[in-house]
Amino acid sequence: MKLDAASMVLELKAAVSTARKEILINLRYPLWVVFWAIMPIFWLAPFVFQGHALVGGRFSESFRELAGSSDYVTFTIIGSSLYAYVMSALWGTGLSLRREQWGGTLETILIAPCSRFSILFGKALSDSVLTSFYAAVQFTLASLLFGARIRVENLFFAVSAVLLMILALYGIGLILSGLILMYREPGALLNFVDTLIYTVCPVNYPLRTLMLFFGGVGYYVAMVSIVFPLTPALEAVRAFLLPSFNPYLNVAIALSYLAAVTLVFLTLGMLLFSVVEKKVRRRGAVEAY
Amino acid sequence: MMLEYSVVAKRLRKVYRKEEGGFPFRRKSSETIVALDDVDLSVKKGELFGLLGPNGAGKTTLVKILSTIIIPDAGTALVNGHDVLKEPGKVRASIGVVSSGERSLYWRLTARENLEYFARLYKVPDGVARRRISELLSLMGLEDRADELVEKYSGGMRQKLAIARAILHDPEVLLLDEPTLGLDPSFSRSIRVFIREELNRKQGKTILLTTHYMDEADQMCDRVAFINKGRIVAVDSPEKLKAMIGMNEVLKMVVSNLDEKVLTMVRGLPFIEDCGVANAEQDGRTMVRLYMKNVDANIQEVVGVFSKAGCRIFSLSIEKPTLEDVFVKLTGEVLDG
Repeated sequence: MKLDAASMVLELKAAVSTARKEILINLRYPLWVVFWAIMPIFWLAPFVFQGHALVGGRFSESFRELAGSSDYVTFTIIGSSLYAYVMSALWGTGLSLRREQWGGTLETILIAPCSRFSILFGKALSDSVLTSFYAAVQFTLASLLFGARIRVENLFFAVSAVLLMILALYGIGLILSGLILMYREPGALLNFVDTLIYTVCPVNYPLRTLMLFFGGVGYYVAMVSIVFPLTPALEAVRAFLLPSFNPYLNVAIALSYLAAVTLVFLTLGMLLFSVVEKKVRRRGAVEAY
Repeated sequence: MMLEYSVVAKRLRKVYRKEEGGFPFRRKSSETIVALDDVDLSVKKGELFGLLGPNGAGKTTLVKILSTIIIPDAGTALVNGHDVLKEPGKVRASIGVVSSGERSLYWRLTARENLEYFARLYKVPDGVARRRISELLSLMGLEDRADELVEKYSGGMRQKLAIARAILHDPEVLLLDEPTLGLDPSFSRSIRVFIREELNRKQGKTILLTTHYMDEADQMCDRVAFINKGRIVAVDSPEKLKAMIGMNEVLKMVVSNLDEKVLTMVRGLPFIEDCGVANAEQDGRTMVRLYMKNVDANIQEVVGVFSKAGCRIFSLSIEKPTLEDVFVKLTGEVLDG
């Protein structure tokens, strides 16, 4: 496909229009918007309550030994806010074409002359916008309820790290989107990847806990954790926002690594999607359930 | 260079292999379905061409190959001079596709929002899109309800909107796959008139229309191709096709207690050329179409055979041959629907 400046603008417009369409459809289900803005607080609260029960307050000395900061509440709030992007990439972008398939609109959008990646990028963009809104609401509510303490002056750097993570996560979303289009049974695959990320990534515990718990093997479990963009992003964002946080990964290394995996996942996602899309068309199964 | 043909299919073949089991144990079965079997087809520029055949004949597969949604196993096709395999992007830019059913739109968007979205996907410049959307909503009689959610529309209104979406970017070729399926008769009629008068005659668009409604193809199309079991069995104008069966009249009867023995007796009559029996039976009644010479002179004898065999005759009429009669004669099968 020829891509000069004019056609790139048209592709970008197609992507933005796809994002607008997705957001409009989401807003037509207002109860779900309220649900996603509020419910994560209820998922976070038990961790905060459990922490209070275990250490008798919102600060923990043993937590400080592992994380540098004793404020496990702010630590967990940051973790759950960023984890929302993982859910969005998996269940949003990963499932996006399958949803079009269920709705009967997939063929119609694939017959359009714009690039498939413009459509997918638009879907990822709408997921990012909506998730950022939900994460912001969640962070604000959690801060009001549980008292998060962050270094506001570093917010810009933290947001930059989050943006990088979003791109990498949507690379993973693209890979899953291709696989789901091919195999058509998303539930088990998405649940597996989602649970794996939630278990091995330091959403609610410092990365050093793995070393403490698994001993010598902990290092290898941490390596598995670092494969997922969420881990370096959490390390960097907490280093920027959480006073006295002592990351396991050097922040500069974490960010460079994040940039590298972003490239790898995006390239891999695009390649895999192109191959799968052709395979599905050859099989004649674009609208197959 | 002026193209004589807007759509050309050459030896197109598509075989589907059934799958068994669920992921990750899904495997290909040895059972196959031949959807298209060496199909050759040419649609002239500006022509309204009908592809007529029963369900499962291969019509939709052919439309999906022409719209680049399915890749054929063999053969190729050109749409507006562009190869569907080598230049799918150019093909997509020059076609508009309407499929049967109502699910090709976003029900939680309004008609206007749907059209605005697809205008962007079809790379229509913003100014042109605004004008076109306004024109098309008016042309389809949807302007008063343009800002209502599509979920509140009737089936016919959704189909009109789907047509508006397909012609938004003013494509030269339209691929219409059963565009009136499931619509009530008045909506079907208005959509047929719009396709024939506005899109084909006035705007000069080349249209490939698939249908299993013989009347639709007869009324609308310049030329018709019969497709059955993945093969094209005949191509010509409706008039020439009807002339192929070589008789001016058909005796149509609705009878009860019909069995193979009676049919054998009827077929044995010297003036009977062929006999078609519809699949559908209601209250034990069956429709029989008898292709015979000199209906007036021989009608008594036919009635006598049915009566003697204990069949009750509910209705009897003499009709002009239809495209279905040609299809029955060529394939031995009856079009459903």
